[in-house]
Amino acid sequence: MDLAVDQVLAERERLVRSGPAAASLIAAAGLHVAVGALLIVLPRLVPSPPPLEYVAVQLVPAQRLGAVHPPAPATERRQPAPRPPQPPPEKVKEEPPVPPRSADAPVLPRPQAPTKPPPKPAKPEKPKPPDNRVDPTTQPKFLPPPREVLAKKLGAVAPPQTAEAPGAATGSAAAKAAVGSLTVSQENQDFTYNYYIAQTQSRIEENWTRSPVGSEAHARISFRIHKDGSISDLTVVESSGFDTFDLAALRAVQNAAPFPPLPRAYTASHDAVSVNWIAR
Amino acid sequence: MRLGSALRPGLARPHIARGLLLLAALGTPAALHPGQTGTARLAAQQAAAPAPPAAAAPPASAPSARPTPPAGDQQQPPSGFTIESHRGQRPKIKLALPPFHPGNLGGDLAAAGGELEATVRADLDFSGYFEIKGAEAWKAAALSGDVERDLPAYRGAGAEVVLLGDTHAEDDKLVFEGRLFDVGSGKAILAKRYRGKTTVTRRMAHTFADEVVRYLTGSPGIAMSAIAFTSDRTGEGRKEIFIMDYDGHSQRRITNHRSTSMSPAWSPTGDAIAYTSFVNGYPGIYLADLAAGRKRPLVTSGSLNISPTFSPDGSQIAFARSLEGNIEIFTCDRSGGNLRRLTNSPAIDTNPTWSPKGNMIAFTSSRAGNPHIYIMDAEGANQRRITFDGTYNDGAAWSPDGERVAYTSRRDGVFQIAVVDVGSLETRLLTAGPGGNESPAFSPDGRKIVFTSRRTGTKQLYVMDASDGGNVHQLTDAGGNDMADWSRQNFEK
Repeated sequence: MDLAVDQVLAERERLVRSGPAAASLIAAAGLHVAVGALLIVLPRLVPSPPPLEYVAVQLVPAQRLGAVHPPAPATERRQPAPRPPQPPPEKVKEEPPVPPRSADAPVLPRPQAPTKPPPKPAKPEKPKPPDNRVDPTTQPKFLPPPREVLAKKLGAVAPPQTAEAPGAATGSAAAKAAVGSLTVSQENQDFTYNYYIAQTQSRIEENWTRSPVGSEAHARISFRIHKDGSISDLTVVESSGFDTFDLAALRAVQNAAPFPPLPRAYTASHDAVSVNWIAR
Repeated sequence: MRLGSALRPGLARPHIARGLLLLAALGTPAALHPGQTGTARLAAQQAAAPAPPAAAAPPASAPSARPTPPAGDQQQPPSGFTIESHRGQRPKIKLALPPFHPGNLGGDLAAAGGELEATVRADLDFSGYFEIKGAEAWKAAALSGDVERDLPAYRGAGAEVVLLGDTHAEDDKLVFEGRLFDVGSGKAILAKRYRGKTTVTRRMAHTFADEVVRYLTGSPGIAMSAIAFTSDRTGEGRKEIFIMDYDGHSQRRITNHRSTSMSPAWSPTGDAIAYTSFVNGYPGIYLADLAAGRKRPLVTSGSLNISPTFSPDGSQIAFARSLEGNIEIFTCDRSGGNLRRLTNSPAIDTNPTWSPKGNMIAFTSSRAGNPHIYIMDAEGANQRRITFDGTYNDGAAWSPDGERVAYTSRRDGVFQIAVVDVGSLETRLLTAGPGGNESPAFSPDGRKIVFTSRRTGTKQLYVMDASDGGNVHQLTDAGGNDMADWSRQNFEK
């Protein structure tokens, strides 16, 4: 037994002393250094991907722009027709959404709408006409979507007048920049629920504490709001250049969530809405 | 922590420091507590997400002109190094609520339709989320009933959202259709249809009101919640357990022990009520199964078992139990087994209440000479005092967001309702004046407190805003009523 152990030990010693092990040790060390150097150098050689091109649309209450008629989004037409109610015999039971009667007329395009007199209600709270002054650093980002794109998005069914309305609501970006810092992304242009945008923005601003990094700093935060008001994909799409500012902005959104559930009339055709918030 | 300190700028820090000193003086591992509290509160913010907005909501007198402040802020970028905070400024939602459209209603159904409309209005008003332009405001407006045609009128009145109701009859049933519209775009937000016999009219209204609150604020409504209490209205010196809707309607008796039954406590799901009863001579803990209508004893051994309270997961009940004359806090499981003792002091420890996360228990202890509120871990460790004002503090109720504890505090010889912030130990009185106010319990959304007051001579139940004690409504008037507990979830009757 002892003999066998001695033999094994002796054999090991012989192996360790011999050259090949030392050589491989040196090779391994060299490789480590090489990989380390590569890790440091590589990121500087490969150019970082260009920033995503970004187009945002800002929404404002229609009355602010003097629009008399609400935008009549054609997408509402795509909602499934309400099912007939299935009344249970005794108990109160919630029934399927009501087939909107006269009350729901505005969700459908009304060709005769423009003929109506425009009794623009003078908003008592409105302190001054829409302010055209816009932060020069942000203005180029508010690219109003081309009319044709809008019209195409709204579909052939929409009469020209109805395409006009969203155009008016999204057109004057200058006026809107002064109204609110929460916008709906282009893919969700038909999300024009002012109360929801007001609620969401108010909530975020409640949770927003600006880092003292200079008055020019602003960051653009994007996130998705789901049916139930929960959020996802919270990211900084445009940094302020200050980490503290960006992080505080992210936290403001995170702490403000969840938001109210999306309007049921909207979730009939959409699962979520993408939103941008400009922290400033 | 961040939210808390920003809500009370300048106050939080000194109070935390004071709490630290006190904790150190109490000989507990002080270094641990602030951190624990901080993380607990942070976690609570993220986990119980719907609650913080409710907690942070401003008192009823919040400024109402929504469009103006943000616009002003945006137009004038801050100069220099200012720290802006918009906190606590959430304006109320401006809701246009014109008269409902009554269809072919007659007789009983007409009355039910009127009750439904009144209930919806009352629920939305009571919620405190809305600035309502009600039926009166629309009398002169000559609304056509067609949303699009009326939009200018709604906009002119500054409304953000309009609610249109329509009631009509189908056979012997009342049908109610409620629709919400965004005034800015004219788009539909929500459309709901309910149908039922006149016996469920109020439930139809409450269900719809809660739906409106949820869709417009993201917070759950409380119109379907219920309140349990003890009442002597049956006479003969007896006290029985009663329950009622959150607005004081449909008061009904649960127990019939012909004895003294008191201090009801809802199970988290609202399916059962634990209470104290003297029906077998000595006070014991009993459980009323509401669905089955059965009552059974849980803990009746020993000479005294009182003031039960459910853990948030419903698996345990904490209560006070006499052990050779000394009252201590115990827990048991829902069948009355697995008794565990949590406190061990020569003084009286009683009236436990669980924190909403279930990790802590607040209770009353006389170990400092007078009764005061203490908190401890749910296993009984880290016992520490949280009330230092007044000479008599009792009857703790933990708020659903976990940040506050309401209790009864004797001030100048009169009982009043006070609230203490568990993190900062900042205390605030919610009631004042003669008559005495006691036994607070929070609503499920933490925005209201139900309590007992003797201000009219007899003990009656009232409800007030949890933020500042405003908007007081009386809920009961028959006999004497006391010891209310508000159901945690919406209660299915």
